[in-house]
Amino acid sequence: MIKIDEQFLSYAVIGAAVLGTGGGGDPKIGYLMAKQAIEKYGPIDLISVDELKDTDISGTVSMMGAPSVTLEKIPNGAEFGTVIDAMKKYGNTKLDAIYPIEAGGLNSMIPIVAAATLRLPLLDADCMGRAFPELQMITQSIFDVPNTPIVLCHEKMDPIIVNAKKPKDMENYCRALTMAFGGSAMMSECYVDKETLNKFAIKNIITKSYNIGKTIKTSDNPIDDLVNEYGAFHLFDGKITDLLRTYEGGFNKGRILINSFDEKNNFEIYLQNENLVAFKNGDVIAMVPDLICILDFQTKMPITTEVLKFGQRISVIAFKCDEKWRLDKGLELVGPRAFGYDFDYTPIEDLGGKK
Amino acid sequence: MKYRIGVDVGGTNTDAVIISENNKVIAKTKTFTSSDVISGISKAISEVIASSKINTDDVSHAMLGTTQCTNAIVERKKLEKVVTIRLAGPATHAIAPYCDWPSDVESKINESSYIVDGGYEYDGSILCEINETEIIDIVKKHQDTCHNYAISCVFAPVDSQQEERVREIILEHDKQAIISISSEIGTLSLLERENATILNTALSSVIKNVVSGFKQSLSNNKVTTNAIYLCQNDGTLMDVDYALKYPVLTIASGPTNSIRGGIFLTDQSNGIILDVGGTTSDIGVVVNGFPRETTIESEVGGISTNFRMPDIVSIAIGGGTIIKEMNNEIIVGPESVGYELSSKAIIFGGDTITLSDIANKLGYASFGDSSKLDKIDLDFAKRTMQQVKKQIEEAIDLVRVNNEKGELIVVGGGSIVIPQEYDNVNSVLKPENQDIANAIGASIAKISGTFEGLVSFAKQPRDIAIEKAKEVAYENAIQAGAIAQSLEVVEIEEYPIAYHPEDAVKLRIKVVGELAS
Repeated sequence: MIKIDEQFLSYAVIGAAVLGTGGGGDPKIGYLMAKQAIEKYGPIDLISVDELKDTDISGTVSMMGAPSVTLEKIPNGAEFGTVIDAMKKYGNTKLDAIYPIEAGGLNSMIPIVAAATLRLPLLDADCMGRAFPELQMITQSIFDVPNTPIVLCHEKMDPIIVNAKKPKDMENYCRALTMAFGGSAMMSECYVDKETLNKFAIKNIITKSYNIGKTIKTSDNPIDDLVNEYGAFHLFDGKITDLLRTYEGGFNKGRILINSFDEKNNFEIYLQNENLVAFKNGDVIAMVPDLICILDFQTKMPITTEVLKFGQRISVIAFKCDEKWRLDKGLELVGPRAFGYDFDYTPIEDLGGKK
Repeated sequence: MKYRIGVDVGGTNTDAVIISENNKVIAKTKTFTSSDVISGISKAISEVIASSKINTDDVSHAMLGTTQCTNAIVERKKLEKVVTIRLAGPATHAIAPYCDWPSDVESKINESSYIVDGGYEYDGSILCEINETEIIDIVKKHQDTCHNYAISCVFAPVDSQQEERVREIILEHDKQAIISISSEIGTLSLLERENATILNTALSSVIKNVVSGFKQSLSNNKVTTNAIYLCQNDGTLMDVDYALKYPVLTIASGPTNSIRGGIFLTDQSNGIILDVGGTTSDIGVVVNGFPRETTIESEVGGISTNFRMPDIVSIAIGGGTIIKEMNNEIIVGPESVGYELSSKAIIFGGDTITLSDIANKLGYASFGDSSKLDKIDLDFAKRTMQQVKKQIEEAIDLVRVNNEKGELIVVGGGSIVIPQEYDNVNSVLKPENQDIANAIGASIAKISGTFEGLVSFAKQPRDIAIEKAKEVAYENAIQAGAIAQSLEVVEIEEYPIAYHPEDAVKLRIKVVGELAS
């Protein structure tokens, strides 16, 4: 067990934004919410899945919606209590620990706020190990663990239970509700016992965020240390020479072109909210679900998609995704074909990236 | 012939220039900024008038660019206490006002803060109605101790009515209240806009002193014009009444004036400008005669804000920049000897190698005692200048919008110490009078007005929405002192909002026009 205090938070939020692979929302709102909650209610306990009792029930809290709305209409902070109470009542369940759904600037911090407010422990595990754009893109789906029902609410504290049979309907209903809520919603889902959790959980994700964040902030050679200690691949350094953005079907899509500083090599990244596929000198070098992360060349701080600029000097690193995503069912959900690319998944370690 | 006086107060120098109505520089002066600021301004005005030999009755306009407000925030001095009221109803309690402020400045400013009923949704529908008695209770509670208010409201950039109503209520119960409302200060992003609004109120007495001091300096020097303006950070002017309401808009007007001055002196309307000072250099881009504005949040004295600011990259290169060598690598800055150049640099008998020494060694400049330069190795000097060139080229890349090479315009007192050629620009332009580009920038500024908010093209056609937005921008410009007939649109920007079902965009329109005399 580790205590999450303000210092821990300040590192974890950076690492979470790295693992958010360009998406996952602006880290600032998430960080400030978590900071205020810990100041008010005290540090929280971070526990591993092994520390759970067999009968303990764990569930997620997260936010869905437009990041631009959250920047203006910040949550109340009590929504967590409302969605969890509603779930307990409707699902006739209890809740002993909270875990995050994904890694990212906002959704890694939201469970910390909930855990602090409700004085529950936070579980060091999630169900993406990175960020993805859609609800059903969680490891539960690989092992046929249902993520229904989902309870949503917003600052008016009206909890609504959504319980559809098909994942795509689930996504559609929740998105429609989110718009009715004014563009963003707090939600809770996937209440499971320890045995079920052990099937799908991606473990030690918060510790990993903390370690990555701390390395970036304190190391003299952050990238070397990330490569040597945390299995990162250093893919490219260079300058953004072209930036193309479009907005299709509710998603920000785009292409980033990067030239090396000596202009001898080029690099391309394609994105849909998150960074999806990368090419070096025309050859694919990394692809979803492996993690492609853009860092500032000077500070090595993560850069979210919205703030990329022409002329920016950046470093591109990558991490292997969790092994579960590499199963057939995982790749069906989040492999390159799931995002419209006409090729099969090749693991990053087989693509010649420099380790 | 009529004339304009432009004054720029920087951290080190106070510059003044007199310019004729056909935009010729008649006289210029450079004096040191005084600790009380005002006597420095007075001295600069008196010197420039004396050397110009003009009749002071012929001065039609006087403009001041000042760093006073920026310095007050950075130094945490002369700031007023503020009562903050956030209209948000059930929302936003998870992050209270001042949550992201450094505690030393919060304690100087925060009288009290409240989150009360109010607020809008993204589409302008009501999140929560305001509760008048709640506001009246707050005013009564503070009526004997504090009269300064900052009002913020969820989605105020979409609809400002609640903020305006709350301002009325406060004034009904406290006649001497000084109130800033967030919809008049910043753009979308509640915390940053609220921060800027709080700062705007906190600066109310600083700006009063600046305005009265400038007026006093002018009347001391028998300048009788009533057309007195302060420079904003977008390269346009505001009259003194407007400035008294929006002091926060003077922040970063210094670099903006240098950029505008440089563009004017080279007779360009687009380009990249490098303003080289003693400690740092600022690099920015001019589009259609005005500095490009940043679209992301910016920090002032450790407080993040989002009112418009020029998009400027600062690099640690200036006349006083300290040069070192470590493990065979040349380190340029970021430390600088600053105002101690005249005692610490090698050419002035000191023992610190500065960029000024290197420039003299290589023959870029010739000042100080050249016999001392034997101490510096020629190869070391060459390698240093290579490094400076590389850093400036990197900064040029950062502000460029595309891969086309253009002209680099270099201004500022420190411009003699940097290389004259860069691989990523066609040529370097260094105009006459570049040393007072900032004061010239102040004297040639225009008047602007803007509209900024969320617009749903599903609810009203794009052309009608844009037309309505233009009307608001025109009205704002005329209020600020522009001639209606001279107004033209210089900027229309649209950012689509993700996940929005009604095709909403964040729309920003800016118009600019000539000064009414």
